Amino acid sequence: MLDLRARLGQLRGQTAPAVVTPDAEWSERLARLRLLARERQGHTPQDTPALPGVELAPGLRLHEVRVSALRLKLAGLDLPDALRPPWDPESTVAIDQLRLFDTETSGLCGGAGLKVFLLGVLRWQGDGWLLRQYLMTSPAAEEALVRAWVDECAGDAHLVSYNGKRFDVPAMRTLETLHGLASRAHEAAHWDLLYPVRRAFRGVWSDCRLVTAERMLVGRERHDDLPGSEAPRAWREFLARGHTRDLLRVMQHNRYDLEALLRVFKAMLQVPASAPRVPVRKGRIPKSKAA
Amino acid sequence: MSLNAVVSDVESSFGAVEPEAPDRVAALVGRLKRKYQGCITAEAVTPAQPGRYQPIPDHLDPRLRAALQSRGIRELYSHQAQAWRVLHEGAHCVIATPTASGKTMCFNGPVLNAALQHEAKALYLFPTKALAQDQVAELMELNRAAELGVRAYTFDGDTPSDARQAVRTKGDIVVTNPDMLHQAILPHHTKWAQFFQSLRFIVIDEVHSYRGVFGAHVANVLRRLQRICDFYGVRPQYICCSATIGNPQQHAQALTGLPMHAICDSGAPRGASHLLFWNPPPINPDLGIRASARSQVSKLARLTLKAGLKAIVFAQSRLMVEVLTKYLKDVFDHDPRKPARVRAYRGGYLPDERRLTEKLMRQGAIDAIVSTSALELGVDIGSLDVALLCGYPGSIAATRQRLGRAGRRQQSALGVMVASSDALDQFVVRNPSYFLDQSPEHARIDPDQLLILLDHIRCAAFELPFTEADRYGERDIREFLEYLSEEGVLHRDGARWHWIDDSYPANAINLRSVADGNFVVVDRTNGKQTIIAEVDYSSAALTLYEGAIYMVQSVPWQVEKLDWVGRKAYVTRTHVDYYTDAIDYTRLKPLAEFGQAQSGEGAAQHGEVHVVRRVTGYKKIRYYSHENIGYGPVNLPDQELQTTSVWWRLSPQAIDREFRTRFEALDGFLGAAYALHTVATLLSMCEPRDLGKAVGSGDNDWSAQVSSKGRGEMRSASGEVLDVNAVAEFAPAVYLYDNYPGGIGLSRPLFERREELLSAAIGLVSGCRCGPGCPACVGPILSGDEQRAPKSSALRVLALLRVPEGAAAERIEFAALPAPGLH
Ligand SMILES: [Zn+2]
Repeated sequence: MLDLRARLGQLRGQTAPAVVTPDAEWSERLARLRLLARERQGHTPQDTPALPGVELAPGLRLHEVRVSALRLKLAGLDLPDALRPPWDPESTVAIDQLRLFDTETSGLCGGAGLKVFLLGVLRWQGDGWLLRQYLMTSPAAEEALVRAWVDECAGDAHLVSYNGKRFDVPAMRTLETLHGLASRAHEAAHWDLLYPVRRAFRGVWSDCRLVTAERMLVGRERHDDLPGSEAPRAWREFLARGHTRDLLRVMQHNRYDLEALLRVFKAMLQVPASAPRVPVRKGRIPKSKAA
Repeated sequence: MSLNAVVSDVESSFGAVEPEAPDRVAALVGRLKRKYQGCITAEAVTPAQPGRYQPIPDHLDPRLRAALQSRGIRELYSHQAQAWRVLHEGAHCVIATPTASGKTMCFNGPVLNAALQHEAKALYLFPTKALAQDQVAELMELNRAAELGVRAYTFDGDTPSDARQAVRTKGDIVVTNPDMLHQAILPHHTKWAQFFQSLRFIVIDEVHSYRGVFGAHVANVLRRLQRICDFYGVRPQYICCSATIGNPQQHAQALTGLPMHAICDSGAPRGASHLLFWNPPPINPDLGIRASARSQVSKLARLTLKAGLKAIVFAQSRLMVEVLTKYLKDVFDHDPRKPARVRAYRGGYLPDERRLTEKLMRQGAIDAIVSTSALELGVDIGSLDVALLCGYPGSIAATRQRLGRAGRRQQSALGVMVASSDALDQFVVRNPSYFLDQSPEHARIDPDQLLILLDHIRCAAFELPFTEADRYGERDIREFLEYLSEEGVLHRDGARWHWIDDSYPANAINLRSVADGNFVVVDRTNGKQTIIAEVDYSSAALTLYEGAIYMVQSVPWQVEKLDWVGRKAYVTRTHVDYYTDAIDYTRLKPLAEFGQAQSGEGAAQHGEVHVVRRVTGYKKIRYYSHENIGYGPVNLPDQELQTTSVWWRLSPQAIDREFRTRFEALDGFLGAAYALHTVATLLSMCEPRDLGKAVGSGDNDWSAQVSSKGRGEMRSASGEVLDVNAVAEFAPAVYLYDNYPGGIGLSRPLFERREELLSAAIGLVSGCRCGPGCPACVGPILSGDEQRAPKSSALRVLALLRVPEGAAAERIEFAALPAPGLH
């Protein structure tokens, strides 16, 4: 009698004849080759640079970066003390209530099996921005990560995100339920910039993704950024083989996204809610008649 | 159901069963018996049964009591009262009473009561969307009657996304199907947390339909549901409903993994019902050729309609549904200005088409409906008088379900089972006591089929991490978790396995079939492109090859182009006088052996095999005359299948000694395969299509089948016809295999009961009174070919395989039954 593995191996070939385009087949085979080559090399120092930050709980690291007030001014990352954005003129929010956040996940499909392995939060503390990245180096630390999220959202926190209402907050809420933490984090006030950006620029830009908003409103292009779609693979690579190189690039990508979020947020403060729907040239913010 | 049958051999008690009051059904029965005495091999009458009633229990919420009263319900049938009592005591139960006995009230009462008194929630599972929608309509009616305020919603693929939130949070009763539970609810269980936390009842209707592969999938979906319930700390009560099967309690327990209380004694009133077994008259008795079942059924349908009665006709295949519909339409619907009196109903029709037919049936606007097994389930089509079965459905349970479609009202009903010339049909019609005395088959499921199990462990791991101590079903599944970890899908972290893959595993798993991808049939007559039907992957190769005639409501289209990769068949309207039937052949290659035993002068083996099925061409068959008027070639990819099988082979020495020519031996093996397949179907109590048969060399060098000319023919692995004498080593094997990827657990018991199986096959063949062989024993023989004697060759093969005296072969009931013979 065959053992389980051998039977499975044989059976694997027989599921529905998948429609494989030659391209997909090649890229898969190449990916396998690369993996093989890397395995043959063993762990080189380039594959396993050290992860930044400190271990907050078993399997959960916290990496903190502070940006002082002076550098902010120079970099154009400053904000007024109190914010009353055009898309929500009824609210006034103090700068230290803000929690700009973004997550990196094991996939995009949603559902109970989706893992959030990196949570980045940007908040104002004292006289500058404090960037916190919670990195899950083991799925066992999920509960600790969720608790960190709940703490970040506590009190009068005001969330700022890009598509967080439909993706990140429900994903975190799923995790809260899974760990029996019935918090009110999902009820926290939340400015999801995707909506004002869409209202102002849908049909004007080719799309309303964050990188597009960043390019059009801020005039910045990213160069050495790891595409977000590579994040799931990078995390699995880390879990399977301990390779940190791409995981570090995911952390960098997350920081890029948070900076972009901050810059887009600042830019959108200047865009009236009823912005004229005219094409915007790269890097220019349309001047409103009222301004 | 205990069919309180009065069995009578027609010759001895002709006219003994007279109706008390003449009604139209009884009159029809009398006429049939007078005119077609020679065709009727048995009659059974189930007398009318009065209702038995019990009061509505006191603990019922007064609002619900008022709602029932407003609909005229002042007492319950005894089985309903029993169900309410059992549920009130906290037990799980399965209700197996006949069609139209008021099964839904068995669960709706307790569910509504709990919703009113405790805000308890309930999940209803129906096998199809249509049944779910019927159910919600019924609930809402009851609800409206007394403004109960209980909210029942369907949740299926048609539920708009903005309404889903309301269903999840506000629904007291959510009515859905196993597919939605599998793909949308369980993987997103956290969104349903509120619902699960108050979940009190899980109702699973039509549990008998969850058998075989589909059943194994559903049992695994229910295991996942159980994990989720455990997670939210609830222990809901299960209420299962089943049509008549032999083992409702055991089946419901296998499906849910929970102890069940069975309620099988119906207290609902029933009209009398007549059942006739009908064998078409012989045309050539020596070759066992009879008039076709199809012609007999269409005659019976004509007599039914002319008597002013309504009929449902069940055919064995979609093709036969179309052919029979055409024959009946030629008689009753030749005037296109009048509304149609005959309609077809089968899988593959678009939902709107089916809904329309159901509606027309309920309104009484149609006089005859021709259907496949699609109407076995409880789709509401109103009441009918006569059920005509074109061919034995393959199981006692399915036969009873189909017959149960007639006689919903409290009046007499008639069912006629018309046998085809196939061995199974002939056995049943000549041995009516087999059907009438035996309880229906047991529904079988084996949830622990390797591939199915692996699929659902993926899904379960996605839904909640597994821990060391976790069980899944009864099993320790650590080996599976290790395997999935090696694949990189799971990550083990201490004592837990976490899902880390970026996929959504439920999307890749279809509960209804293993191979995915339905084909759509696109009509491009007159330059437009309209989808007229859908065909599932497994039957596409047999029905949508280029040149095929594809029929919808018996209107023929011709397939012009088949886009296999794009899953589309392009058809145009045609007006030909023939239909087409595919010719296919099968070859097998053993991959691994699980067990082996000596078997007479050969060996019996059980193991895993690779099956390749190829459609090589098709026949054109003219309507009415059924003559073969031509062939066409087909060029399609092979259908591949890896599954479990039992097989027998004889030593080459024994073959050389016992057979004068290889042709003779080949005929013997093909005949033996035919007979073994028939008895294996009866022994396994499965449907004939669940089990495949094949003859070939053990090493995939060649395979053999009966050619279109009725003779044994050998083909090489690449499909060319071979000369029997040119093969170096001639060592044929006969295979019976589970006709589903991965297997469904049929072949192992067949291997274990191999002695019984061989004895029964010998009994079947030796007891047949034909000359050289016939459809009732070793398969049809064409006239003019009588000098061949496959029957005696098959008997020799079977006898050589039997363990000689001493190792006393057990005799099964089957062999002890009267030998079949022609009248
Ligand atoms: Zn015979």
